[in-house]
Amino acid sequence: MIRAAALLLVAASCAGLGFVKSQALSARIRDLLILRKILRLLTGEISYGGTPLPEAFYRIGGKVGEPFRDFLQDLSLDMRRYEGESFSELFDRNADCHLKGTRLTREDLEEWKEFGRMLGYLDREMQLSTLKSFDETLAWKIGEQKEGLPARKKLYQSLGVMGGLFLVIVFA
Amino acid sequence: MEHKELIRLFSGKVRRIMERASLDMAKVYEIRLRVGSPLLLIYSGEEFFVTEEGTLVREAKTAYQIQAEDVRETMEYIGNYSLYAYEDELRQGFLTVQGGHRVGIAGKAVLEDEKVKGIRHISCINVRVAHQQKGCADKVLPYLIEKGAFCHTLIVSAPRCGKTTLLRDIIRQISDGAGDCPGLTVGVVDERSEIAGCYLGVAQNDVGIRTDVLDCCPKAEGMMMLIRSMSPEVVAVDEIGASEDIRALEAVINCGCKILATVHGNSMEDVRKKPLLSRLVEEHVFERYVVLVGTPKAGSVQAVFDGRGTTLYRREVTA
Repeated sequence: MIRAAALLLVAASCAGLGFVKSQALSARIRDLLILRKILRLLTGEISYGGTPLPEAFYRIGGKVGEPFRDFLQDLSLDMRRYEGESFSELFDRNADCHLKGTRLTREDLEEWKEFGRMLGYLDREMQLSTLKSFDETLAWKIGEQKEGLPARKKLYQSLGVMGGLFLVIVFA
Repeated sequence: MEHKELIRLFSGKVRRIMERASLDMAKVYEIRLRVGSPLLLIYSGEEFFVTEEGTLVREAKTAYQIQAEDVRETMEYIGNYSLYAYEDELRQGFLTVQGGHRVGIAGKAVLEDEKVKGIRHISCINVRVAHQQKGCADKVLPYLIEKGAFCHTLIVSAPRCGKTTLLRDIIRQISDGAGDCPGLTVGVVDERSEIAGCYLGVAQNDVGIRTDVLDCCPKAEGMMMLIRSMSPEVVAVDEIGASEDIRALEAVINCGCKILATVHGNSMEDVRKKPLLSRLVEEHVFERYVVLVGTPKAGSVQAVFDGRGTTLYRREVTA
């Protein structure tokens, strides 16, 4: 009886793992889309009003959910403290602190930080071209992720179920 | 922003030096940073260098020498890590920070079509600390109001004789209401952010409760914009002189608004010699002229005349 229950638990866990993994694929797309939203809002702030970054980040932070809100608003507050850190150091620190828990991959985060290193540099034209360039990168990433997403989700779910069944057969 | 907070805008090293110096910020007029040169202050009207320990000295050799890193870090703070946001101001060589303080910069000019597009390799920073002198117009204001109405007024002054300070206080007082004159709606075109010292569009100096400020806007265009949009009773501008300014002034007067303006000059003779302004003087367009001089101190009123040149006030010079 206990053995049967254990085997059932193993099968359910494996199926659940597959399901979680498939959901993570959608979650990454969702997080990448939030980054794109931030870029678009930032483009608006800079192109229309030439808003300085601390003010723009704080305002945009109010329009996105956690943990992106904390990332933007804490970055904005840090920028107003003038404690000797460069902008890229502040950006990196806040990205590490707040965005580690998202579904963005390590590569996504590195590219996001790289983008942060380019912000604030030179004139308005430069900011807008940096934003546009990173927006294109994100669009490409999202497109790539979306392509074959249902098939990959099904694959992870099936692998979870099949793996569970395999373990049940092995231990039975 | 309090004066103390102004110090936060400097690089860590310079900030610590200034904190050690325990300065009375009300006496600080200018703080100058030049790469490879000593940290310099204009304090109580005199020039001082500052040592690393925060002591004010006359000897440049013993003072703290500004590093390129100090200027770079200071510019990051002054520009909020976003110098692109101040492109228009930087093109003119200065920007205004919270508190209305003016930060002048110099470095290598970037040209485009033979026009200055910006400044890079910034190596000199001059922070001019804003000091609003409320009440400095008390003495002159009664001469500018006739039968409860404000008169078209031109302030004539040489540079650094306090014309903008006087202009700002007149604006504040007529906006809030002073003496027989009820509060008036004043439109200010602040081309160089000197009058209101706007930071992110908000006036940092007290320019009165009925004052609308058009910041960083060319004077002639700004005057017309204010007339169309804000229905001012008085339009105030600093340093008129160009032909388009004069045309805009006439348009403002034709709209029934009063004018409060300043112009560079040492005397009424100087104003009469200016081809564009002389016509307005001859036509008695201005009803009051206030002539300022720099002695015994900046902002001293030398004389007030009416539109026909009659002296209403003249400072007595003691031998």
